[in-house]
Amino acid sequence: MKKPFFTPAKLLILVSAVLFLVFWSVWFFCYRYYLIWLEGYSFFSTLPDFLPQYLDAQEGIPGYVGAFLHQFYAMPVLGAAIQSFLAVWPVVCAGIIILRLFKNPEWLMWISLIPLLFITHRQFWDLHLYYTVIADMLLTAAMILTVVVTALVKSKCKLPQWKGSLYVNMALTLVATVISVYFLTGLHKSNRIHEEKARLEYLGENHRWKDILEEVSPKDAKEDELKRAYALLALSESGLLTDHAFRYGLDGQDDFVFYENIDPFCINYNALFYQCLEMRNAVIHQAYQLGVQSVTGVSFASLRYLADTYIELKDYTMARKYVDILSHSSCHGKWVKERRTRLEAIKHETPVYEYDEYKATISNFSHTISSMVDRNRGNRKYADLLLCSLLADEEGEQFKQIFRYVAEIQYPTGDTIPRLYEEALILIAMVEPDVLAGYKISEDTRRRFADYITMMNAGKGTQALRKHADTYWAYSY
Amino acid sequence: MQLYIRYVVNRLLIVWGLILIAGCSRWETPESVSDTEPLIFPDYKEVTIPYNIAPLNFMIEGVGRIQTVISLDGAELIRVSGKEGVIAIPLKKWSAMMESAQGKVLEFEVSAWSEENPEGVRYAPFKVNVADDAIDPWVAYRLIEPGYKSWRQLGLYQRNLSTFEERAIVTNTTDIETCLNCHHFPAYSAGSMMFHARGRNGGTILYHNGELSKIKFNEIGPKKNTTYPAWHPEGRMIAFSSNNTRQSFYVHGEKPIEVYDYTSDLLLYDTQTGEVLVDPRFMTEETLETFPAWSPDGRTLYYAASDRKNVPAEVEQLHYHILSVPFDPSNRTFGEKIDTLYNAHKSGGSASYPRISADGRYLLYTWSEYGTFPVWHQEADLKMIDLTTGEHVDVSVWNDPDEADSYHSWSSDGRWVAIGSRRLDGRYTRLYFAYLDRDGKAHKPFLLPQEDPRHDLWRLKSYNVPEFVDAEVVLPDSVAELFEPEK
Repeated sequence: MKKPFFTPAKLLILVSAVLFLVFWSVWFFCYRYYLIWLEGYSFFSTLPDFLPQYLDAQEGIPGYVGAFLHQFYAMPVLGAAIQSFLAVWPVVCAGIIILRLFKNPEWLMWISLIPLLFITHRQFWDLHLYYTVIADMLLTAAMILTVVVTALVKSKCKLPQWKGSLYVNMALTLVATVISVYFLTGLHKSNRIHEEKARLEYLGENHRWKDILEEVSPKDAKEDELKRAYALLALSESGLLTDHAFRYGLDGQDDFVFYENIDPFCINYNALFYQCLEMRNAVIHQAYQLGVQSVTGVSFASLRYLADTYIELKDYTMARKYVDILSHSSCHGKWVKERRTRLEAIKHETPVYEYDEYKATISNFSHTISSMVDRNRGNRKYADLLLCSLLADEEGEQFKQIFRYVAEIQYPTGDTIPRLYEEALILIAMVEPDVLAGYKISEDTRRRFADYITMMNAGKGTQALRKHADTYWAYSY
Repeated sequence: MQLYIRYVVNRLLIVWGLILIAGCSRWETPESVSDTEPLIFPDYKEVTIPYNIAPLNFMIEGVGRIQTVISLDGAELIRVSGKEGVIAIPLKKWSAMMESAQGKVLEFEVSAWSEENPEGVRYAPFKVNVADDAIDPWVAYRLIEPGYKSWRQLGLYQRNLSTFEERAIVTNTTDIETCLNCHHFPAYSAGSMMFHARGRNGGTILYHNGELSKIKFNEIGPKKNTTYPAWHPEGRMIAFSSNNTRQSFYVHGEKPIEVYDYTSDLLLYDTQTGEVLVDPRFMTEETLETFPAWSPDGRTLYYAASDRKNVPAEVEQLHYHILSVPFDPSNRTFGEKIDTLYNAHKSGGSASYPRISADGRYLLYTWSEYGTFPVWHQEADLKMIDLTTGEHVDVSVWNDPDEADSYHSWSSDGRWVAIGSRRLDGRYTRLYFAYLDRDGKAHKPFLLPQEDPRHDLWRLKSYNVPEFVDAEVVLPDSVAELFEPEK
């Protein structure tokens, strides 16, 4: 009798290969930034303190294996492959079990797809690969046991023949694949949101401010506090804060940084924000907080922040500690090599911790930024953050004083003043005309303000606010 | 069971690592001789150690092959070679040698092969003094990420000082919000222990007379929380300070954190009756009382106190004195007279953690420029007063000139001091031990020996509140149930 082309074994190989490709595509094309984020959120080291910590933690050995694998997720191609392999391997194991137990297993090959549904159902949120690794380990153990037992007991069960089994198997495979892909992409809206956050984090860490502003629309920024924070940071780093702050939903000083929020995305944003502002104590603070969110109290992302910040501070001892620790992971060879060069350069230097007689603390944004403005009066970035936050909080009097303080250096007479400040000054000048003394307000701003006032006085408030949206006048109204 | 597995795996990993490091057994002769001593880590040169301490494993950075010969009275007793510049001395050989080394001087002759010295160099030998005083067998401490607001894994651990064995006493592995702190023992006894568990189901955990209990101090007596403890040596009473503590995070400067108290008072807890006793003198709004410590006879309570200030604005004006008040254990009352042993207004600075030696003669405290949390003060140093004369004794050899030396505790015989110091890197507190001889002379301290000497460079936790104990602390398995949040 002629053997069918699709033998159960071939079917298993084909199905596994197709499933692998499908899942790899889903992970790589839909969640590549999430995979990168998973690497940063995890930590693995060959140092002796690390394994006992995992054994002490609830995640145990599966978590330890997961941490090892997560190291490779920094390369999404590999990360997607590992995620796909972890989902498909139990299918292979279950398939082998069925092949070994039955003489004619065509009927039952679809059973091997059940573990796939179990894994994909929770794989996205299995942050430590705990359930995934357990499932893989159990199926692997069951497969090995079956192979050994069937090798010793050389008899197989025989099921009744059924011609339609191939089509049933193919149909069920297709259904299981569709359901699994749905589990990964459509079941939880939060998966997409998580990927978006991870993408923002990636763009931020790579200082791709233009891409962030393309990614986050003003509407998105007004609706989501993390997107708003990233957009405001991107504006600040691009020198555009004074043009578009209100367009992107700035509503107060708390929009710039997160307090008392233990979401790792928010803490990571804070670390990046302070890194951009060269406030290194604050970066170290956030890096520790970031590490604490991970299983062992430390993560690759937090250690990289710490190592880089201490290198910037020229604190050789501390920087070297973190670089040494990272050198005991599997995928930081290039990163460590580069840092070692920088470490050598600071080996004999004195750390550059700045003294601050005001002892500014990082518990309050305006307090923190005020101290930076005070120390760096000519720095446009610090001044814009402080002045924009004061405008957002409608602290006109403070704005006026601090603007005068920084304008002496940043906008000597005749220099062009950013649009937002012109709008604020011209509005304040309605009750305090002297406030404009010494500053040149552009004709365009004067004309727009006249138009705004005329419309307001004519009772066309709604139209005026719409026409002059994103201005300080509209915001303060 | 999990702790046991953790212990076994830890041992296997370390042993495997040391097999790799110490794998080469050939003995080689270096080509050159140097008249300088080697730059070893940890710096064990000229330290004084107890004869029952674990082997002083050490390393030289940038070195490949390394050899050392340990001699006593001119006789070569141990030869060890290693790789990666690491010397790991076999525990059995070391212990046998130390039995005969009491009161003598060990000599370490080190040879090393490196890129600079590919043919090897033999350094001038360095000496290690072995005291004829033993150290308590175990030290208990907390391991925690250094500083800031949150933590992940923290726990109270203990280390066998004669071996490298580290064991957990209790950990918070199940709940991120539970903080464990301020452990203490009565008269060094491992049979009783207390610690605070902060969090949703927190309280003060007391293991005493074989029984576990949880006390919610904010629900009994004056309804005040408790912070720094001092267990009376007779075991019945525990003195606590009740501190309302906050911290500020600085934007600039090498000191990133300042910790201060809004209020602090002293309380007494009677473990027999469950009463919380207060003395109105130690409960005032105007004064901050903290860091209680008993004299070894239990007849005097020492503590630190400062005028209350408007913190954090006036934190630099917080200057703590050290005071003492007599105590009568029979009627659980304090005497009338309060003595000032250290007057911060006269002498300057601020005093923390007064601790009395076993013979009652010396008062060791931490001095800093101001405030009540010296571990974040680089200038913090240990200072010691001879209570028989009121004069300061020179213990400068115990201090690091650049980094904080803060928490400290006396061994049960008063000859050894455990010191929490940040001298290695300025951030992670490490555990040092120092000797005070019978003449009151302080000797150079040594870092807690580790199986791999690089361990303290890589460990990402600080050693916190080291306290000597007379045996291994074993709490009932049910202890975690007392403070874990209800599911």
